[in-house]
Amino acid sequence: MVNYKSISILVAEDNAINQLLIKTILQKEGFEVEIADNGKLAIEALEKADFQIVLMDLMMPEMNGYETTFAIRNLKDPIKSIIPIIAVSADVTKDVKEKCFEAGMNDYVSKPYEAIQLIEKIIEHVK
Amino acid sequence: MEDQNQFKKIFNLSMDIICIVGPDGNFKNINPAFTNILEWEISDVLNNPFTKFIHAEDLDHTKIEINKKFEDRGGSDVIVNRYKTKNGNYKYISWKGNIDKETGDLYGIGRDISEQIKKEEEFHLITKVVSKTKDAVVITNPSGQIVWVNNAFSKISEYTKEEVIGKKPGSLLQGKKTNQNTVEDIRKAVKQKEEIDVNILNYSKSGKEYWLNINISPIYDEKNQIEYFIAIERDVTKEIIQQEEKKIADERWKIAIENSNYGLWDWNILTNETYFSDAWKKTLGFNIDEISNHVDEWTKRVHPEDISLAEKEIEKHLNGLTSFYESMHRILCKDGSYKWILDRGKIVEWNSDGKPLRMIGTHNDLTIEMEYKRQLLMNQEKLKEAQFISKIGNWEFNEQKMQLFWSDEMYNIYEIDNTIKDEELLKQFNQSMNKQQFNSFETTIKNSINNKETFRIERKLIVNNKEKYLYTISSPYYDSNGKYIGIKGTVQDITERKLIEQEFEKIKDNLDTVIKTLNEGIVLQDITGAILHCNPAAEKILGLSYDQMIGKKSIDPSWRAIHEDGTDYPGETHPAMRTLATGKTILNDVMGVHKPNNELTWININAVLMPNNRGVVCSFTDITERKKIENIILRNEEMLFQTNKIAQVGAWEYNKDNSVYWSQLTREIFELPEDFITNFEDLKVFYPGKNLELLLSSSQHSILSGETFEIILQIKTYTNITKWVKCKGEVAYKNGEFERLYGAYQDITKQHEIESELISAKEKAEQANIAKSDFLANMSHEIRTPLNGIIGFSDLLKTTKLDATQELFSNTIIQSANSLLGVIDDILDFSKIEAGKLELEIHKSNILQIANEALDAVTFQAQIKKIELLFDYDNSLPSYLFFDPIRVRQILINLLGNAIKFTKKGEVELKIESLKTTNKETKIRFSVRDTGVGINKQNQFKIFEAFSQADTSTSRRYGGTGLGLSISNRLLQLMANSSLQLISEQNEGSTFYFDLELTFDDDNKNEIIQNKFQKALILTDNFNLSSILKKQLKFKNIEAEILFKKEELIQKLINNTETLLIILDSDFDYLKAYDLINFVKEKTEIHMSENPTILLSNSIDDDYTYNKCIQLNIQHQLLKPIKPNLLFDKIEIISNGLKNKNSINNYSQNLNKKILVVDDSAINRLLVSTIIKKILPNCVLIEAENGLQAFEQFKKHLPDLIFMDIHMPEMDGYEATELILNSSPNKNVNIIALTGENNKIDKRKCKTTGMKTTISKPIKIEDLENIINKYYFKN
Repeated sequence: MVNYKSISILVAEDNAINQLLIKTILQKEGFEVEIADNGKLAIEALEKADFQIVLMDLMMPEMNGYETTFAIRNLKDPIKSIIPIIAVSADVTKDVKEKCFEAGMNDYVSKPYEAIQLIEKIIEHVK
Repeated sequence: MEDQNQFKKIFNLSMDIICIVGPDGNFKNINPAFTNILEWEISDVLNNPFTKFIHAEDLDHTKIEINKKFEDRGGSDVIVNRYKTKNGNYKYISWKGNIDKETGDLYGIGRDISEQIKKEEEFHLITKVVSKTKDAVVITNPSGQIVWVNNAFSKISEYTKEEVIGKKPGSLLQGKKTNQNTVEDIRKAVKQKEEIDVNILNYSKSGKEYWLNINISPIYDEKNQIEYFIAIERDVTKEIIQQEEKKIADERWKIAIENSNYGLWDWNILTNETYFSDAWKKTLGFNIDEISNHVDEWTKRVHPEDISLAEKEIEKHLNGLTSFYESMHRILCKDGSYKWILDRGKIVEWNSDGKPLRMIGTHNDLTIEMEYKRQLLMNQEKLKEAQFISKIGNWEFNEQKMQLFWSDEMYNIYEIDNTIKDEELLKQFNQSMNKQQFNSFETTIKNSINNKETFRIERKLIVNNKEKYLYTISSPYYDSNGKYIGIKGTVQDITERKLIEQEFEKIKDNLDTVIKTLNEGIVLQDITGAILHCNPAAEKILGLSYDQMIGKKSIDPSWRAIHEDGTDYPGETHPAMRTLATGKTILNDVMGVHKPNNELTWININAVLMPNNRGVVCSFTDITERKKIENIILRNEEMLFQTNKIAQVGAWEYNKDNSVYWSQLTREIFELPEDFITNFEDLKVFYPGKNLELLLSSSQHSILSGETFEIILQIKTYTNITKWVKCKGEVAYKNGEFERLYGAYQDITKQHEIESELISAKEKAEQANIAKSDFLANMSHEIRTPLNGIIGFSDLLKTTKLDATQELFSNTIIQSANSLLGVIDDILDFSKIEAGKLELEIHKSNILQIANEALDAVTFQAQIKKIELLFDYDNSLPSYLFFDPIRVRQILINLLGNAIKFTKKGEVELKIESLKTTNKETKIRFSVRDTGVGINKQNQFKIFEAFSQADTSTSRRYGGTGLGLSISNRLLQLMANSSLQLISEQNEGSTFYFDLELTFDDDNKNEIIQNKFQKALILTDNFNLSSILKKQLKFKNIEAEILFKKEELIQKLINNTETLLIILDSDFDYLKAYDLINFVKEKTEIHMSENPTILLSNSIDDDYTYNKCIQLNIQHQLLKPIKPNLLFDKIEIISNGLKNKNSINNYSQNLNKKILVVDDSAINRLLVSTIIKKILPNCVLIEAENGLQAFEQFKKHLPDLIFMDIHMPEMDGYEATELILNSSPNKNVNIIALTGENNKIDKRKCKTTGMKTTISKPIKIEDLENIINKYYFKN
């Protein structure tokens, strides 16, 4: 049995509206949500606190989703370095899914997403 | 005791780790294997916790599993974790454990599986590497079926892994042009378990041809049995094409030589396989297929006298002693004759050791020339003979003066010194005759004088003791007054002729035959040119009879002769006349003679003066045939020259003495003036920059290696024009030393210009395409980002409290955003298809489910427009097929969407039928029929084009990008070269259809479930709907009767005794279905509920229908369009319900089960309770208004079944469920969630919270009945 309240999610997303949206959707279901404006800030947040999963936008300033994933996978903390990462992107070009997996992400959700899709994926990977 | 001893033994001897851990988690004992494997001594671990040595990452899951064991909640049987050894390493241990219930001790048995894990990791690594290599890798089982392919394979072949697994590569990839011999070779090698490396032409899924280099090798297992075949495939299309191009270029040269009537041969020295050109074969009179490709065809035909010499010449060339092979020999023709052949050849390929591999050469028929030579020799013999014809002397005897004059020839004949004259001469002359001869001579002369006539006598004399035959012609001569003066005449020494004549007498018959059968025409002419004699061959050649010729002169104008160039050949210049005039022999003059029948005969004529100026002998042969052949050769040469000129091919030659020869065409290419002398140094200026370097280095390489070269050069002509040329070069050696380089130039300026234009155009187009793709991808990203916000927040908005207008607006926002998303997807899809980047993802999928999804996507649209949506599905189709579900659904949605869009009223039908089914493939037709506007014939072809609609007014009226059909059509092409077909008439509706051939693998059998019904009644006014339903029911062995009037239904029901299934269409026009039921209820004694009734309704009228159903106790509903699987499910449910009805009642009589209904809305609580009471009249119902109350009630009554609303004040359904489940002493309580319609998130969360299932509001009787059946009576 999974208790949504025990799941804290780090969301790397630069678009303010989409930040608000994802936060609203997830909090409504009882998840703990923290937003990072870009990849760099996401890594800082991850180093500071414990999360169960990261939702990762791909195109972000400072550090994009691929670079951020690479950095996370190379973190010294062995538990943090293997945190599940789900790409959440409006990039639907052909190879993007494959590129995400190659970069070390665990899954991919395209934008615009349905709330249920996001939640299904989160449950699947946190389990 | 014995048990204990035995345990001890096992404990000590076990190869696996055995350890005992006390209830406090600390080690109590370990066996020696523990120490062996993990190096820890018992003293190290005793009283230490078991978990102390587990790797940090594995700790959590190990603990969880162990705890489960302790709590007796199952837990995994096997736990794998990393366990620390004494020297600090970790080993993978697979643990099994059990708890001794008495002591609480945990007995753990562990096995070291580090090696195994290492191997698995290695295997994963290898798989990863192999799947990433550029070369395609295919692994098959021993019977050749594919078990694995990597990504590169899919890339090259366009087949996904799923598509090819289990198939044989051959049948999948080979096609029309694949070389069957190669296929056979592969088959043989595989059969004999040998490795093979070949090139083969394969076909990709879309039919593209490509060349693969395949290396197949068997892989053996430990028992030396073949386990797999592994094939590594490299795409060599590019190399093969280059080879082909070279071959074509070679062919071109061959054809050029073929045209020159030279036979051509190409001899593989190692295999003796030899190519003989058609001309080679034709020269010898053979048909093309009568000569095989073996050098023996040549060897066995060379004349036995010539063969050793010819072979010696070949040997010399093979040994490098000659720069080319040349031999003149006779070869046997098909008709048994021999032809003289000039055979020349040259080695063109050596292996790396310098051993010759291949020799090519020409075969030139010189028979005619040889024959000609032979005849010429014969002529000269004849001429010599003619010279032996006797000399003629002339004489004059003046009787009055008694003077005798002799010409020199006379003296020669009589062998008298020519200083002797007059009387003495007369005396000696007379003495030359004996008495009798003298008298006879005298008499003859006297007769001649008296009769004034010419006399001819032939006499035999003895001169110097030699017999001589003389022929004398004489006549008297007179002065101007007619007075006799004397006699004059000629004497001819005909001794030799006489002797020959005598010889002739003997062999006369033979000789006659010889002369007469001689092919060569012979004509003797006297010094005036008058014909004295001719043979039959002359008659034949000239077309004149002996009589016609004799006496005729060469200058006779009727001859009508011409020169080779067609100009007149005047009689005065006839060879005979020229020879007569000059005394010189003329040989081989060619003359065209018009025969009397106007035929032109060409002769080769010789004229030789007869000895002693006695005339001339002409001998001639008919060369008309040869002339014809020569003309053809000339024409061919001319054509070759012209062809070269057209192709702008010129020759060049560079000799070891630095001299350079350029042919006229080469000079033309370089635009050299006529007086330009081609000198090596002076020519360098024509090759600007690196071109000279390239030419020199290529030449140098060619000279050193003996290889030919072909390069492309930029040249600057004499007039400073830049041109592009192709330069070919070949080297010739003499006695092993460089002799010369020669080759050809071809002006390819135009091709080059076109090529570079094409290349730059292509590059530009590619750049533009990349830019377009980038732009589209970018645009898509930029639009999707805000759309995510729009759709997301609109969805959230809908979950808040909205009034009807607000809800309509928010729905409209979502709909608009979704259609914008559809447009973007369409454009992106289209650009992907255009760029060839779209790939299909073929899975084993359920076609019915995909069709249902497509229908769901358009149902709302259809029902708003009040269009009847029909679905006619062929139930005999296999359920699971291999296809791309996303794309098929996309096409169906597109077609259905269009149909609905362009239909104002009536119906839209989706039909899926099987056209042809084999045991692993089925051809399916998908058609979408509408009753809409239709498309007239002129516009039908337009609609499949991108961005175009039937006419421009369409987009104004109906909207849309016009991409949908185009995308669908292209997707179909990608799938199976299928395409959209259209049958339509303006205002008559349209039917779009397409066919797909899909494969399936399992038996896919549709079980026919026995059900309670044999008969059904369908009441509807839609004929098409009723026939579809009838067909579907037939599949379940239910005979359906279609009724169109309510009276018919009532009639049927009154007279009925068996249980009927009634299907009512809610759109039934004459009287709404509900009213009908009401009517039946009120006006008759019939209880409709005894005959289960299914109402077919539209979801759009849901509220209305819902209320009516509750009111009228209609338990079964199906939403339109009717999906066969749902219809069948419904029938099964009804069927089972009928069976269970009695059991429900029986149980409920005896058991007082408790049911808790939790909802904050009193109406809802009442509704649920009412329905439950109907089903289970004797159950105990408890109610609660929120979660907290529910928990309290639960503790108090311990109900068996709980219906739980989710969103409630105080405490929501989730929390209440958690509380109940965590505190329940009765763990088997079933909690059923009541959720809002289609709230997927709630449903998902309910399951994770531990509720058994969910029921969507509004609640239907049937749903509750099912739940009660399932959960209430199960335990």
